Amino acid sequence: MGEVSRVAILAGRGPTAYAGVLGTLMAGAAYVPLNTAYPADRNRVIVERSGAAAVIADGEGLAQLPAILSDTVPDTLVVADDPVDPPVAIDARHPVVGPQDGRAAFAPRTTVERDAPAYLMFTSGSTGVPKGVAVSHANVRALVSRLSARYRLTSADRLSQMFDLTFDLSVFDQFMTWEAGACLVCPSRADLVNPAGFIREHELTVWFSVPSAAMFMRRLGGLAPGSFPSLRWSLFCGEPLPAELAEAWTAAAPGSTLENLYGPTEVTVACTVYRWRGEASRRQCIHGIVPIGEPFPGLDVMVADASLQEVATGDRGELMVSGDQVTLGYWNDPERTRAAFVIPPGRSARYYRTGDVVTRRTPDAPLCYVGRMDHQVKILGHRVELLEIEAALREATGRDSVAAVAWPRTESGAGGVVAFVSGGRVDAAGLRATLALRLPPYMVPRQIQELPELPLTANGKTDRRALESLLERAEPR
Amino acid sequence: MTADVRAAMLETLIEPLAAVGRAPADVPDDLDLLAEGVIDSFGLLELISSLEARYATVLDFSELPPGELTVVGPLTRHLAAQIEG
Repeated sequence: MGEVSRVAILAGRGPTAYAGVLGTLMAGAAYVPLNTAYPADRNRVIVERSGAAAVIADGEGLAQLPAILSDTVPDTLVVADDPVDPPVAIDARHPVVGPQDGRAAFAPRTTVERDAPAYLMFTSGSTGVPKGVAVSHANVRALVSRLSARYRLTSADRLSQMFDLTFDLSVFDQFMTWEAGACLVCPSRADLVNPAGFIREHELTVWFSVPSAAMFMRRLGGLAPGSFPSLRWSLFCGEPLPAELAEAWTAAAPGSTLENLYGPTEVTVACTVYRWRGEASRRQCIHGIVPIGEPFPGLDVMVADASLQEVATGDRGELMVSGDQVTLGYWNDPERTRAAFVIPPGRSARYYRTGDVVTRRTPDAPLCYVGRMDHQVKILGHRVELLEIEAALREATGRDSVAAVAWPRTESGAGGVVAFVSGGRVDAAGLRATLALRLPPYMVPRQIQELPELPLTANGKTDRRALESLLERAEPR
Repeated sequence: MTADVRAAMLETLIEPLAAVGRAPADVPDDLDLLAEGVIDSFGLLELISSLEARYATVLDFSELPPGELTVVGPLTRHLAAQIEG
């Protein structure tokens, strides 16, 4: 077969996925993670949009591929870790080969272009379809170099892998482990409901998760003081970290240093960091949320107003980031790339507009996250555009008057989504089932409520605050 | 009380049970809700929250062995003991 530039990976956290990532990169191609928990339709959209010419699959992935690689998907080679012998093609355009033949198709290269994409990470898109962030080899190299210098991991370290490959925080665990020759420990499904036991059983030394995972542990009584004596680094990223949780975690892992990292996929996993220092840190929190700190050395941040001019010290504005971790942009989407990756007036560097509102640093105060400029929310750490859910609702119901809100609220974001539909009765269970064919599980509304009409703001937009108040009033006291 | 809690718990799980082809009436005590794909970690939290709201109490799971956390029988008995508590 000809040169393969992008390879999709449909495999759970395990040897097939990681061999797939490394093999793809060594062949000079970019990996494109899919997810067996996603509906077939979403995986197909990602394969189509990425133009992946091959898919590497484990057993569970292989079983799902006939539903994904339909007639609309161009010729795609499937490399299965354990195909039946002889392998059965999905259809004429989608042959299946085993690892040996797959190896022949991807000859390792001796050099890889620095600016070639290393992976395409598809995230929720406000227009209704997922968008692919193209991250280069140089971007990942820059991240790993910085964080290796910071954390000084060795072959004795044991890291958690709490993320599927479709969540870009998985990049940290994989590449930091490989760089240090350390051990990456993947939780089983049972471990995911008992992460505290998972840390103890495997004597992990580095924990990296979204704060929601720690909140889950605390809820099940798993954060008793001294619970995690093996940990030396406790790292959180992906959503706001409540100070109270940082305190509870520090007591549970007294021998570890806790850091709060921040960063969008577009700036390669993480770009700022804040070290928790107990009482002194508590005084720096805004609304009980741990600061996001300072940019990594070598990266620059500015806090800008609507005209992209820096706001006064201590004021609030949009966080913008420049440097060698700023990614290539959105895959095959120059318009959106131009809008989000900009050169502000009077500057020469390219900055990514995060859409996150922060307070500008002062000599005494770090960067603090205070909210979003748009309708992007975090559901258990997953980045979700409410507008994408609303687009799916519109299509499924044929009605214009729909809304989605992040609910219930948690200390760090939200636990799920609730949808509202006006214009007559809806079959909520049927509608949820339809949405589940298109959206990842965490984006499917857990409740769908009917309203005679949606509340509007003074300028005619859906009043999400009013919808949240409705949900608040309905909560049991 | 155990039967009440069991019924309340399975009632909140009607939709995910149906998704794996089960009705509350044919759920055995040894069914592992996690292994069967009825709930994930978030589903477990939702279940706990809904039972806490229903019985106006705060549940503690520190005494329940993690392996039994998602198994219908032990989970129900633990919840009932807490609620009666």
